[in-house]
Parts: sequence; structure tokens; C-alpha cells
Amino acid sequence: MELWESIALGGSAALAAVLGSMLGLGGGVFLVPIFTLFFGIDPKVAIAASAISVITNSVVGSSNHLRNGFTNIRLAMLLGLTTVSGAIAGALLAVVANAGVLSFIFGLVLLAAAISMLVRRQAVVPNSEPGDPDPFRLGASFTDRATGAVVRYIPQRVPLGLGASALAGILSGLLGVGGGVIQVPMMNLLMRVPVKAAAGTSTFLVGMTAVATATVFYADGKIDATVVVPAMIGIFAGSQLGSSLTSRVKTANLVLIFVAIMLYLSISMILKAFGIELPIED
Amino acid sequence: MDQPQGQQALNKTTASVLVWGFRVSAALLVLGLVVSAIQGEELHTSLESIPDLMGEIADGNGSGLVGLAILVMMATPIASTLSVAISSIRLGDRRYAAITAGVLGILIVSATISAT
Repeated sequence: MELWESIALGGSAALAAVLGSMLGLGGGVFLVPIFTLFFGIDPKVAIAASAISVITNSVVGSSNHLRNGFTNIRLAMLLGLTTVSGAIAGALLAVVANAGVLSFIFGLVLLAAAISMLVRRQAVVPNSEPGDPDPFRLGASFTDRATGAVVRYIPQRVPLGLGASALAGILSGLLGVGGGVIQVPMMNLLMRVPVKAAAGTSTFLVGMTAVATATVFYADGKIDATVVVPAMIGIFAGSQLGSSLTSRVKTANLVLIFVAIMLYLSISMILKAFGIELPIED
Repeated sequence: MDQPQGQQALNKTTASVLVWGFRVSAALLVLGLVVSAIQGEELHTSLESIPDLMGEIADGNGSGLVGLAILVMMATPIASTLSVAISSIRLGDRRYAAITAGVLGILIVSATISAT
């Protein structure tokens, strides 16, 4: 690979991470479509690179979230049982799946993510009360620095959450995305976990999920250092920039623009599955 | 339901494991890229097995170090999960120590199958 190609890959990964971190989605959801549509990289190599980038993002992001008390480790481990198992199953499916099928499924997931973002703009979910039953001993609290208030919560509907996590894991393994795009709204809307705790717990959880995915692709010889290294560096730099931009920019105002980008990528991936390429690809 | 001291210690230890995993991986990556650039060596388009990577590092090849950096990054969440399991045992939280051990078992089985 030429130096300019590596720089372009790293720059694209940084852009994906800036977008992802501003939206709380991680970079993987943008990385695979950008690598496959604009650089012509094999989808399986792109998925493997994305999985390792997700691990990098998770390792860096989780250390900050853990210090802020946003990560509910018990919840992450409980959901990890089904998510990690699902990720291994998904990655094994991805190794044998047709590239067109992967593109099609990715397009559908992007479409669902775009719709989920529009829904999340409207959703205000009440947290559970401290007196609520906590049979799984998952209750936790954190201090919200924006308001100075201590937020206490008890995750609800745990069995449903475990099932949804298995689905998130399968999609994560199949597509190399972190799964945050599913985990954060699932924890928030279904389990009534506050958004900051859901994002912190998801960031930790997706690292474990992506390890399961990456090891399967490692065994299949799909980890290409010429793609992975620029992706890792770009994702790391982009997520740092995205985090600092998030505190300065009104993210809600950008959601519609990003939803439009996701819809474009979604349609491109679905069309690619049928051998149709949009004019500005490659 | 405020974070008890044990929980804070668990978070702090886990964060430290993640930070050190990242530092070691980043250091190996930078070193590997510098050595590869000096030697005019191409990076691998398919990451080799661990014994082959060790052989390359012993031969002073930068691409081996880059491969090891990627593997260290992949191993870091496994190390943090191990740290959570150990901390849960120390806190006397048997239920979550067992759950964490289950997650760790799944990850290790997956990694072992891949490595072989």
C-alpha cells in the first residue's frame, strides 16, 4: 500500500471516529462502509480492521468512563455473557458469508441506526427509583458533572436486555461494529439506564465483544496490518478530537446532517449488494 | 446505592489495566513503525501466528513488533476482564465473580481456538 493511501485511510478513520464519538455510536458503524465503498477494501478485511479499531476506542474511552463512575461493570459483565457469545457466532457467520450479503445486512443496520437516532432525539426515559426491586444487584449511581446531581438507577427488564444483547453481539461479530449503536438505545430505552451510564457501560462492553470478533478474523487471516494500523491511529486521533468537539458543539443540531450521511451510506451498501455503485464511490 | 469504596477500587484497577494495555500497545506500534521505516520493510497483509511473530521480533523485524502491538491491544480487554474477576473475588462478590469468569472463559476459548 502506498503512503498516501495509508494517510487517506487514517484520515477517513479519524473522520469516522469524530462523527461516531459526537453521536455516541463509536466509529465502526461508519468505518466499514467508508473502507469498502471508497477504498475498495474487501468487506471482511474492513470488518476485521473495524473490530480492532473498536477495541482501541473502547480501551481509551473506558478508562475515562470508569474514572467518572459511568461504567456499571456488573451490568457489562452480565450482558457480556450473551453479547460475547453472540459476537463469536456472528463472526463465524461473517467468515463464511457472501460479501454481498454482508453489505446488504450492513445497509439495513445503518438504516435502523439512522431511525434510532431520530427516535432518540425525542425520547425522554424516566429512570427507575432507588426503592425499586433489584434482584440482579445491578443498581448503581454516578455524579452528573453537568448538573452536580447524583443519579441513582436500577436497570430494569434484565432478561429482555440479555436477549437484545445477544442480537447486538451477533450483529457486532457479523459486521465488525462495536454494537454501541444497538446497546446504548437498548440499555436506555428498554432497561431504563441513564444515557451517560449506558454509554459508559456500552463502551466497556463493546471492547470485549470486538475481541471475540477480532480473534475469529485473526484465525481466518483477515487482519491486514496495512489497513489496521492507519485505522487504529485514525480512530484514536478522531475520537479524541470528537470528544473535545462534543462539549463545544450542540450535537442535537448535527443529528439530522449525520442521519442524512448514514442514509446515504445505508443505500450505497444495499445497492452494492446488488452490484450497483453510486457515482462518487471508489 | 452510592458507589461503595470497593466498587470505586474495582473501577480504578480496571481503568489502570486498560491504560497500561494501551500504553504498551502504542509503544510497540511506534517502535515497530520506526524500525519498519528504517529497514524499508512492508507491513504484513495477514497477521502471522504468535510463534512466527516472535521469530520476526527476534530477527529485529519491525513488522513483527507492529503485529505484537495489535495483539496486545486485542488482549487488553481480556486482561481487564481478568482484573474484574479477581477484584470481584476479593470483594466477596461470588455471583459476579462467577459471571465474569464465564465471560473470561468464552473470550479465552475464542482466543485459544484462533491462536491454534
